[in-house]
Amino acid sequence: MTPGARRAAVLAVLGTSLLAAVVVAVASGSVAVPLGETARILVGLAPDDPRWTVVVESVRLPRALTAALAGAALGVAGLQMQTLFRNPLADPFSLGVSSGASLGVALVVTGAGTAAGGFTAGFAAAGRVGTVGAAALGGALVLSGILALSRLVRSAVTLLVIGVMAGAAATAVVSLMLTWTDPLRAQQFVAWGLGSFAGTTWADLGVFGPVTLAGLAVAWLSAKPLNALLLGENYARTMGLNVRRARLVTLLGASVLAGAVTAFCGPIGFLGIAVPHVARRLIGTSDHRVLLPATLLCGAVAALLCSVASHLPGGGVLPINVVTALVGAPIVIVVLLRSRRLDGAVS
Amino acid sequence: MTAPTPDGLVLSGLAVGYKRRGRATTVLSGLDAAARRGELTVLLGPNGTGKSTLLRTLAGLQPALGGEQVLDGEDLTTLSDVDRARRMAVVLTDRVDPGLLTARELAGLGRHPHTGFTGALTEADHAVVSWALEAVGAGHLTNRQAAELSDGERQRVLTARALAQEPGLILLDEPSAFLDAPSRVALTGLLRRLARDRDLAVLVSSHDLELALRTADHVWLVDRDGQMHSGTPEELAVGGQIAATFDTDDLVFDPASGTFVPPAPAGGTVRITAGDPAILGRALAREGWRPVEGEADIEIAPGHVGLADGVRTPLGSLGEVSAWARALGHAPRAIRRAGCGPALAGAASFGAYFRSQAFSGTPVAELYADPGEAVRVVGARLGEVEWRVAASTMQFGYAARLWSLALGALSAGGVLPDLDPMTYEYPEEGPVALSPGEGGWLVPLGEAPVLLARIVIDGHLRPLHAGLRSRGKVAEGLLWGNAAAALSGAVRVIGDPALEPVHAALLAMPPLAGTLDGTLRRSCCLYYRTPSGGYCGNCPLPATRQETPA
Repeated sequence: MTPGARRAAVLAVLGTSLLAAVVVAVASGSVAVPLGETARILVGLAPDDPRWTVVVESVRLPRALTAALAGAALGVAGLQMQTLFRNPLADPFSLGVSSGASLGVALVVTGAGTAAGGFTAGFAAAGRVGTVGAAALGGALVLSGILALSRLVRSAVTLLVIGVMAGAAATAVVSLMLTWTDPLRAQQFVAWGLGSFAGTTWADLGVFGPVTLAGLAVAWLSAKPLNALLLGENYARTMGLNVRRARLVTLLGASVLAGAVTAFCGPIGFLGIAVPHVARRLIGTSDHRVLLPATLLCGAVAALLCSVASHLPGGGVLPINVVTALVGAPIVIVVLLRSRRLDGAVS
Repeated sequence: MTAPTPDGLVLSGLAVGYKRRGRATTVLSGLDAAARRGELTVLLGPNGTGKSTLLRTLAGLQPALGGEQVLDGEDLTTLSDVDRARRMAVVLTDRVDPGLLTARELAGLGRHPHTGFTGALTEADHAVVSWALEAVGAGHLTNRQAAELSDGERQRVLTARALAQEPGLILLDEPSAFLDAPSRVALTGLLRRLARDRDLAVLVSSHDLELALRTADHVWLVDRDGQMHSGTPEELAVGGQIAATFDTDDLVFDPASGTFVPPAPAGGTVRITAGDPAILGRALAREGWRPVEGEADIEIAPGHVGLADGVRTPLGSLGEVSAWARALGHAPRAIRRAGCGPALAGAASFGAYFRSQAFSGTPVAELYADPGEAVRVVGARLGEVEWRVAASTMQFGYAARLWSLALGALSAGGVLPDLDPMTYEYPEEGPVALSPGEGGWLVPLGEAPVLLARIVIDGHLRPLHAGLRSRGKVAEGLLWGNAAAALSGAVRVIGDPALEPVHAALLAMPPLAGTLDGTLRRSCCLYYRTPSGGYCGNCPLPATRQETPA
């Protein structure tokens, strides 16, 4: 089989898996809905029990779509960051986007009795909208700071270190706020921090969907620059790439994806760092024109499977971050160990 | 310098360096040079002189501080990134970790400035990539993972990537830095061929000075003062810029060979008459000996025989030659080496007996091992004689011939001919014919007795005497008496007063000491016992008796 045929086959298998994973995700949950009935509802037919329509349409379908979008977004953003920084440990949150979002959410949740208390209390009163808005705002603030710096900083590595430092500072402030706040509110924040695909409504999806799709479109445009960056920034420049612009666009795209996911689902860990590695092994190339779609599909499938796995047989629900790490980490380790080559995992 | 052609890269007054916080640090300035299409131009210079800064500036990775850089008539500084990439490709020293890319995909990245926003390659793009891979001899690597290639293979593929940009100029910053020697040579050959075949301007910085000077069409040389000299390798070699830039106390540039050699030694010279003078010359030059024609301090003769201080040393291999030359040091010698032809020709004027000719007879070592046949021939000539009479006569004649060869050439040309590779022939009539080697020792007369004793007495007479005495009964004293008488006879015929001290010194040292009493012998030469014989010229018997032979 030629490399091209193999890649096409892998993409086809991933696409099919995505459809299957969506169906499984919609079919599973705390209320038992037969698979056939689920399919009927999905194609627009009336099921035996009208309550199932409600369960599927207003709970499970948004949840599955959110998971798929979030997984795709995190995987793609992770890939962009890993290539841009030529670092296998880079992930969508390396530049502190999630820390900024956390800070925003922490401010809202704790509603700390500071001067800004009245303002944040207003956000808190708005409930979910407040949380999402605060997360988006916090993430956006950090992001704009980093993007502004990226125009000044020459080396991508410096930028990466600055991002990690900014993230650490934000996390420290969050910790400070949590220690001084009411434990119940702290608990609320911790719950947000564990991540969830289940909180999104159709109204949320009306924002989350388009933003994510836009981010993915930007990522698709970054495939060519990212390929050039595989040889390093100097080579990319001599091959005609405007490196600063490419870096800016890529960072913007990746951060919008990461920020949107964090705002609506909380800081979902692990997928962003692991999915690109798995996708790279599966597709067998670093060519982003193939690797980006593969990562997108892989991320969506992985997030859906994690979402399914988080529903315990007894009816309980595990936090998404627990599942992504517990289930995903061993898989990634096995994939890396079994792959022919252990090096070359960077890009 | 002649005006550069409009083709290729032309620098005029270019200044390069760094800008930090608005302050410019100039590394090189006032650069005027051209890298023409169809030529391999090599940028040379010691570390830290700004070669990389210059290349990075030309590659557009950092701004120039002033001056012009024009490629095929277009000002490079005004071009967009993409336009520059279409005209110029660069291979950097940056370590590349291409990840999971095949060699073909890696080379295909070079199409970047030519493809649309998705980066998809058209049929035409694929054709260019295939051509580029073939052009660098990497066609067989197409489907290999780039990360699994050897350093040399990867450098080829990176060069193919540069070619795939279809540039008019390729810049390479020390492309052979990580390569082993064969890959370096191969890569340099490749670059030269690409420049010629594709009419590309190829500018490559290199540390491989000697290889660069042999292969480059044009050299840009940055010296230690930050001045750039440009010209053909020969111009810079003859002009002395290369030597001025790279010479050290231990190695100096030799313009003739284009290589670096140890500095010319204090005077030690070597003459090489062996079959492979170029190779031997290099080996000996490394040990501090300067190869010359004609007279020299030491010599390497055919069969790798080392000749120095009057001593022959058989050397089995080139390695032994080097070790031998090193052990000698490289100081001038008292006893030197020269050809012995003129000296032998001069000796012929002393008489027929001193005439020598070159022929290939039997090696004298065989005579010494078994002198029986020679004794028989001489004996037959004399008529019915005892064996010891024939032996004494043969040995006397042979010694006389040795002394006249040695002393004749010494008197006529100051040269003691090489008697060791000598061959002989016993003709039916007349004395033994000897054919010495072509070289000889240029020996001051003061040193001559010791050298003569070693070569003639120890090297020839002793083995001959041993050979004779192993065949039959003949007194040692008689033989040495013969040798001394032969020596005196030769000196007398030559009539050179300068030889007298040599003569006297030889007679004063063993084994000749005491064999003569004045001019008279202490032993009998047995000449009187030959059928036609009588008393010899040194016979101590009374003159009256000499006049009435038995």
